[in-house]
Amino acid sequence: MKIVPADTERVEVDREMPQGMERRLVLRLLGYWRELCGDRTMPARAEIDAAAIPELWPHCFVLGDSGPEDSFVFQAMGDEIAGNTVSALTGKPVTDAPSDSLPGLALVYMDEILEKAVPVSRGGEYVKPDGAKVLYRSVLLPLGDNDGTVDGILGAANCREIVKY
Amino acid sequence: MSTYELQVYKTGIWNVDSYFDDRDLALSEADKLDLSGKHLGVRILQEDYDEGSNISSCRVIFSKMRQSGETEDWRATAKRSSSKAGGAHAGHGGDRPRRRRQSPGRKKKTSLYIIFGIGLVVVIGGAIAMMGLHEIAEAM
Repeated sequence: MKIVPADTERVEVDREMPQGMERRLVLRLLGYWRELCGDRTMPARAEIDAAAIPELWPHCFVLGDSGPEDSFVFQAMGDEIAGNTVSALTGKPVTDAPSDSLPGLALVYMDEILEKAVPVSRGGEYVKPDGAKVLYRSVLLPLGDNDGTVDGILGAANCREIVKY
Repeated sequence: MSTYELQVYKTGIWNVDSYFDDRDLALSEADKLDLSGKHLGVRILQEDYDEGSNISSCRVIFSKMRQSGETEDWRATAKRSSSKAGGAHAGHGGDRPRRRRQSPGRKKKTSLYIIFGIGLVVVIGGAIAMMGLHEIAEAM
């Protein structure tokens, strides 16, 4: 067995999701979105059914442009991702999502979705107030009418914390 | 910083399907789309952006086209196209222009010209150097 030097930094992954789970969330939700699409460019907002994706829904949220001047608000949110923010966001505008929360990080590239009207997946890392480093992965999927206008977004994000010794 | 643009081929052109910043995710999704049989072609463009120079470069890292109901690797297609006049996939609207490859025979000829040119320069340079040395010797 190889003996590592005494000053080697140990990095332990705490509360890690089952192997491959993080990536599967993005691909599985994308698969669900594609099923709803059929031959269309995107599904309608009303077609999103939380009961159809029980394992994925806790990490998901749905945005709709039902706010003032067609601004986007959180219409629904899964428990896991909701627990990542201090206050409830359902019914609130997207601007209320804290920038250091999962929904906030996932929505950084929201304009890209509205402009391109195709799925986009991004990941990254951030540092929590207690100094813990967190890796996250998110996906945003456009919802709307068949004419290509995006009037909603199905999003999902999850994360894992890295604990350093 | 790399972005992976997943494209599908339909109605004669390549259309953007989705974007990823993770290569493995993009490749997994491309494989899935290819196996689904819903698209005539699937490919991934990797775009690398250099902030320092503000230049982005783009290259295809995955490409599969369907022909006669079977998936075909783009390298096999390219080889066959180069041996046929016109190519099997001519008329891909929106496809990126391919760089012309030199035939092996032409490459050999070019190398010979270069070697000959270098040799000539060395000989002429050597002759001039000898003349110069001769004159210096006479002056002394």
